[in-house]
Amino acid sequence: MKILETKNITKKYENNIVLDNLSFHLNKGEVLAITGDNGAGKSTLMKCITGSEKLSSGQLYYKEEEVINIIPSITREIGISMVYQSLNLCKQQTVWENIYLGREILKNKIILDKDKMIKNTSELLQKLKVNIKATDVVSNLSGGQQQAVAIAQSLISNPDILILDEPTSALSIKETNGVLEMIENLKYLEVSVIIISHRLSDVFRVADRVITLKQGQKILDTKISKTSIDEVTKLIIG
Amino acid sequence: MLRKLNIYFMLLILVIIFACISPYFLTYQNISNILLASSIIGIISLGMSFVIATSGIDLSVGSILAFSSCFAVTLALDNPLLIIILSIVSAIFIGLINGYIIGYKRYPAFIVTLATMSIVRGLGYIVTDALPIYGLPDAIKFIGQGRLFMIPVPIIIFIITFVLCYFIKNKTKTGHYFAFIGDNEQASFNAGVKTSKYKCLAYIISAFLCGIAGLITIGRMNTADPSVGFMYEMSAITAVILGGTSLFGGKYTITGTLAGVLVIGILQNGLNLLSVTSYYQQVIIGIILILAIISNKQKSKENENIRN
Repeated sequence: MKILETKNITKKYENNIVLDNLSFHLNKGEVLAITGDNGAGKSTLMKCITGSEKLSSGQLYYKEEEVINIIPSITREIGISMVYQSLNLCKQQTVWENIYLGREILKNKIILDKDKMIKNTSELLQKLKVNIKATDVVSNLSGGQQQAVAIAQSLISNPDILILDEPTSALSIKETNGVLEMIENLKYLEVSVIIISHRLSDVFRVADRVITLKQGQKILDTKISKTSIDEVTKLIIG
Repeated sequence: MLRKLNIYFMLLILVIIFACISPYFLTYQNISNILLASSIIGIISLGMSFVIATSGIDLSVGSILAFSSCFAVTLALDNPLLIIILSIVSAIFIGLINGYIIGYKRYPAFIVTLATMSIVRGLGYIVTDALPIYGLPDAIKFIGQGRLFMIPVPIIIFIITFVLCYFIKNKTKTGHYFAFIGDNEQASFNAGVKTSKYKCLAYIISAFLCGIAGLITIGRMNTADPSVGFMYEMSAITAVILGGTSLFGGKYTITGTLAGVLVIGILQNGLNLLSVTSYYQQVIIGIILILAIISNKQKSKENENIRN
């Protein structure tokens, strides 16, 4: 079942076409990787889907219904969540405070229900198999752990679709492994994932399908099992 | 050593030192004097904590205190209720102007509140013709000089303000957001926090508390004087930073601010008991502020190192 579909998406900045008549879909429970060289349009495509960037033309369908007003608050409300490369974390605060930022649980509509938020955060981290405490301060965590917090932050609102922008780009090999394991675990939570990544080894480990972009156009859309790192690399640099 | 400088430890040490040096230090009367003398700066400092948590600064607190009380007394000298209402409403209005320009228009807090400090101080002199107004109603004098259950009213107001601020900081979304905005405003905005609104609110709370402090001041002196509150901003900032709130925002503590206020109050009181002149007291408090800022910066560097 298609959970997300774009039809003929185009994004222009004055005369510069960044996305050119692009159509693709995401199936329920699938991990879809978007690859391509710098400037291929990967991040812009995701920003257009979340509404951070306005489409020049084209349509977005969510669960087969057209999303008319594509803005961040609407896309987040219907179940599309994005983890940005810059992570968007408040590093002097604790893990649970970051995860519940903007979605706090209140007692009597006024008082923060800290115990419940800490408990829920601990359960979520356990589900994601992340070995950190809800009460840890984010600045004391490693890069991989901070990435895990950012992913957990996006999952707290139970999204159907999670978009990850270069989740492993700044991580060590060990940390990368931890984050990839976490992405693999997302399948069991029935979350559909779009992962934007330069690292083809990561893509081939976790993704079910890969789309390659070049100059804003789709040049490959296939199952991982039907292609190889070499083929994708050649398409990107060729 | 500085890194481990703890305000509560400092408070304890000061109490022990002055208690050993002066037999009057730990008397009920002297403790009451310390709290009374600290109450006005204490109330302002509590509001300043919220502002600094958002990575802002409010240099206009002393001017707001003077203007709001003088404005109210000028318009309603014989009506205590009206004095209270006008004082608080005018203070909130100035806070709203500060908050709007800083929160919604995104101008730097330092420049905006520096300008407000000057404008509002000037307005205070204009509305009073630069002359103090004497002879306030008994109800206003009660706010500054009265006692309830043997406890001076300013101390009771200070304690109530502390409890409310502690509640806001530790139990509500609003207190939570002040720190988040100071930590990473963009991330807070992306998470759905109305950052402009909450930044504006911090300045409104600060100004509101200046209005309260202004009422205590005029009640205590039985005079509305446009020149009061001069340099109060420095004392408030010193207390807040000394208490452990990060000058760069993101991390703040209300109990720390209370301890910071008490450290300054005890230091001044203790030095008075030892007959040290106020000029030396200013030098000592300035040195303590520098130590607090160095300590603050070292903590930030340490956090940076942990991150890297």
